[in-house]
Amino acid sequence: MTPMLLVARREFRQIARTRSFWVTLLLFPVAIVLSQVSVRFFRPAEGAAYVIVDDTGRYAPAIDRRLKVNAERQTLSALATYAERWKIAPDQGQQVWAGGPRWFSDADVAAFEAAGGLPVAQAQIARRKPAAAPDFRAPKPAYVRIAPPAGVVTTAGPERFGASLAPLLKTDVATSQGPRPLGLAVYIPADFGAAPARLWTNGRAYPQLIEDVRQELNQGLRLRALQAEGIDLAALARAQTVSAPITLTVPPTGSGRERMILRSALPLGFAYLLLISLMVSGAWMLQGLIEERSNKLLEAVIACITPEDLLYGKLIGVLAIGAVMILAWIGFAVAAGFVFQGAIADYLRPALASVSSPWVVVALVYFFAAGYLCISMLFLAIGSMSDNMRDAQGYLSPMILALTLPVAAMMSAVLQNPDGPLPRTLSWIPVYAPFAMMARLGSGVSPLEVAGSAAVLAVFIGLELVVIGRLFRANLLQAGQPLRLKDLPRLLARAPA
Amino acid sequence: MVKRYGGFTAVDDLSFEVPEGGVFGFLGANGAGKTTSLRMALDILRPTSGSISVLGRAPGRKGSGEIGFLPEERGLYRQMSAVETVAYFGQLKGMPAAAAGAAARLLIDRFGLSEFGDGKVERLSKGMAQKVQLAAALVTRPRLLVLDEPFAGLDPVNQAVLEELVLELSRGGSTVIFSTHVMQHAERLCDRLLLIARGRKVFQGDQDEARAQLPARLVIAARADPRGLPGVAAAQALGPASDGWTDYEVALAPGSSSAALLEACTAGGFPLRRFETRQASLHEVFLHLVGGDPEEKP
Repeated sequence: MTPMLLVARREFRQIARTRSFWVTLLLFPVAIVLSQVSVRFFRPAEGAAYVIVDDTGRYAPAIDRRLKVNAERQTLSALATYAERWKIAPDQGQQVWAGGPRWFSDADVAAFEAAGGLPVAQAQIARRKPAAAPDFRAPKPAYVRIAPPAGVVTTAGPERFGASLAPLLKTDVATSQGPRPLGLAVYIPADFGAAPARLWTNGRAYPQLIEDVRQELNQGLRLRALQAEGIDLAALARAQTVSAPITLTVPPTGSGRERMILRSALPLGFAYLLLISLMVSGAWMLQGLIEERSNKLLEAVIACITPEDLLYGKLIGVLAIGAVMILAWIGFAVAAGFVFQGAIADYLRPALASVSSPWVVVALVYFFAAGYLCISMLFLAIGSMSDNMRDAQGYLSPMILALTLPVAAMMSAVLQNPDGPLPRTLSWIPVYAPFAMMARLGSGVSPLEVAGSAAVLAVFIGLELVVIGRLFRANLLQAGQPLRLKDLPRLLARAPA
Repeated sequence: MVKRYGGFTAVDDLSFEVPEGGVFGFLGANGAGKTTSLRMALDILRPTSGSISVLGRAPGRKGSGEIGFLPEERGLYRQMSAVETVAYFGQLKGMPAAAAGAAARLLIDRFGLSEFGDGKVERLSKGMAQKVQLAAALVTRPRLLVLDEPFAGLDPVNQAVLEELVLELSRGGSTVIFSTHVMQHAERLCDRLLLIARGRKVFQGDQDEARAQLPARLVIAARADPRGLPGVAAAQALGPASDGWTDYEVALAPGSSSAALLEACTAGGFPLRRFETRQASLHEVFLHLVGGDPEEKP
């Protein structure tokens, strides 16, 4: 084994033996598991219950009908997504849900119901679905009406109704779909129109529910007003079924902006992992180098091997540590994908599409390795100039800030527009290029830009190797004599003796 | 060789040769340039000018297994075991892993550290750690062993152990170069000496030649003042006469020897009851040549 690899192996073992390495390695999967567990056990109940007291007897059925149509639309949308995902065609005729996910109008919902609704669709799906496909599970209706609970006064006007209801707005109530928070209570007085309808909420936002109630109340009042003007209600009802012929086209799931975000997810994830693992392993390497300096070990080591072997060995060692961390985290993520299946698997599929091209994989690996070398050398430079961790902090804090702030800004910018000015600019600045290019690779970057950025980065790393190699050699044995800025030009101009 | 750091000359036109075999003492006060010179010989530093040949070749890592080095400032990887540490340095010098491991185990056993061999270095005492460092320098069975201030920080017991080891290595055929500013160690160990001051060579030779740098001094007991005797430069009574005999400290004139003086006394009938030659110590030689105490901080 060459001296360089011996140093790399020792460096790797030293870091791998530390408790902090294992804590960091396990932190990511533990975070994944905890997030899943918390989502499952602590997520708030979906939707809400509502209660209506309608002294007129006219408005509550219309509101119920509106909310039922909305719930059916939701079912239809889920059904269309499921059918497209598992490539299921209906047995006969053109079912509403067979055309893929899109905006479903009230007429579509009516047609769906006319064709037998969910039971018929489920029967067809059961016959056609592939073995690997899970059963279709219709989403639960978002809002469920309940009868006024016991103790709620409904016959003594809105004030008493509101007062008796108030305690229930702080708790869950029983519904046909299980316990739900009581999200909205509506009191429609007999003289509605002259007197206002009263609405109580529990403080959480259910804007769609409130909007649906408001629209139905408006429409009811308008119908009554039109009727008072002598307009035929039957003609009005027919007119209301007419809707503007609008065809709303939205990108199918996994396309358009959603596609861009999904395709960026994995490369962005890699960029984040690179940043995290670099900061962690760079700090370990720095600590190791400072320990070698403060322990007076270096002289004995560089009597056996060249400073360059020591430098490159350390870089290889820390690169190996980074690779192990990333591979372990990816392994955990894949395992989590298998364990939690469903949403994660469906989410990962389009995300994985971004790295299906071998060239993208090559570019990802290149920018990952190059990023590790490029930034790790900065840590080594700091280590070779510092006698102790306190000295090192003086250099480390500004470097980490200068590195992470633009990268964080760039990563959120990539989600808005991968070809925006910030991501594109940082793609050409060597210390940021690995993060910027990795983050952008999923959304499609021109091969020329990838090659250009990679070339600039390679040249920079070459220069870095020369300069930091000199710095390393010049400073290794100079404990207590920190490098002065005025020494830098001399160091860059020629190798130290 | 010359080594300059900016305007400061650490080693100034220093030339010397170390014969193969034996113990070579590299002496000088703190800051005299000993460590810098040794670092240049090991290619840790490059000379500003001049040339160096070690074991017949220019300094470098090629054949680093033939050279063992114990630096003045010592340390170990605290999380590694003693055996791992010694084996690691063996491998860095080109030994195969298995051979390095076996040699490391042997040395650790030989230094009496068997029960600590697999424990972390951070749990060893300072003396034990220094033995591990020495084992790391010896693991390749080097032809040349360079010890930079090897006795610094050792207690008297461990100093004696190390002295014995140096002599043993020398008897085994290795060449040992060690630097020190403690003249007693040099007196006990060195076959040849190089004395440097402010980066320049002041003296090179064996111990007798070093002592000859100072005129020999005699203590005699005589009835008469010896100042008239041939070869006597000065004489000073050390105390009052006792039974007619007085002790004198006699300084010889340059070029005179104690043997010639004794012969002259015998031939001239000059009565003597005591004739004792006092050789100069290396410490005195150092003071004479350098003009300062070697153990003083610069």
